[in-house]
Amino acid sequence: MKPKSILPQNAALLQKRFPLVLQRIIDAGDRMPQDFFYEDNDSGSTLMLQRGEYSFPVYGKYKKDNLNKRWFSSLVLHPESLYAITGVGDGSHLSYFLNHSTSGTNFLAAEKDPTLLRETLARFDLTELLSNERFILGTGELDDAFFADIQGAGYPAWLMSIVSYSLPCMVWMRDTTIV
Amino acid sequence: MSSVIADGEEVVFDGDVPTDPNHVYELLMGALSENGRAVVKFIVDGVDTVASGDTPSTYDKIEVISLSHDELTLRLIIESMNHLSTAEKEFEAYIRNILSVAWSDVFQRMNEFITKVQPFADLLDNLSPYAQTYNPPWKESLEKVTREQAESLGVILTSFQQGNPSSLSDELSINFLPIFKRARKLFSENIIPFLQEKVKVA
Repeated sequence: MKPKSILPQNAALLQKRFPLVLQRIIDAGDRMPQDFFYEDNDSGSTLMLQRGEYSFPVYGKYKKDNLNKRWFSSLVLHPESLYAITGVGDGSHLSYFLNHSTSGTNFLAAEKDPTLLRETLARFDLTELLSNERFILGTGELDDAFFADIQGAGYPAWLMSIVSYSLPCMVWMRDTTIV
Repeated sequence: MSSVIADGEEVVFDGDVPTDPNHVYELLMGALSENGRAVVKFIVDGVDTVASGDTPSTYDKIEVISLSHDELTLRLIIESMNHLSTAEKEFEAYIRNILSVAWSDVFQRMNEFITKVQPFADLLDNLSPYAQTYNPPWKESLEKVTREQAESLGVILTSFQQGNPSSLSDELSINFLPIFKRARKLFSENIIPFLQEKVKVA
């Protein structure tokens, strides 16, 4: 499979709000995601996960919205909070989170693999999500640059004080994660 | 002089009273099963050998307690239903967490989940012979729910095997839990009243 180009409207918003994310996608070159792939056909694109000898649709074989709804309904959210979500997937759960959470609920999506993010942004118009100030996006290593990019997205200092509580980042992400 | 008492009545044997408790057990099992009853207690000189699994070679007194298949089945169902009374809420809590905790945590709790499902699966399996033998009016409904439950458990186990959280969540929410609720309804509204009536009449 060949890599796809990010949709221009998605790329424009990455450039504006998350330049490091865009740079890391570019730096990944032509590499394809390791464990994920998309099945594209006339009815759309389905994100698949390869786990050993098995592959299956990440969001199940039924209505994706119902799965996202079930996931979201299991969360206990508080206003004026930041939530970290590990994995961007096809973006549908993030859009669901955005559309069903209140205005004080902010969330960070961290995608480990920039190439998966590229393939997703090449297929789905996520401009509503990417442009929303409650949403922040990071990809690749959880290093200083990762958090600097988030700061560059215009987040207030109180938020950054949480994000800078970053050692060890993945543990923090897991402890607060909702995916 | 050895004596054998079954359900409060002295047993009269054709010929000599058997001296081996195992022989007594065989004879009584045969006679009782012809009348649709099963031995639930076989007390040899004060010790219930059904519970202990250890039968002595001689005896002075044997007391046998039997139940009709209807009574036995009703008792089994009520005991299982008591065990399952909290299961529905536990299943719901498990389902809620599948998509919001790490897969490794979900997987670690697989045995716990299977342990909770097991009495339900056993109950359906144990009831099938009764339904086959006596052909009650709820036989088809039971067969349907048993078949659906088995299929659903197959998908659940495959989801665990493949490490597929969305399939596990979908299967439990869309199929397994509704089947479980339907089965409980079938038991409480059809099977238990049917058996209670039969026991009452007997």
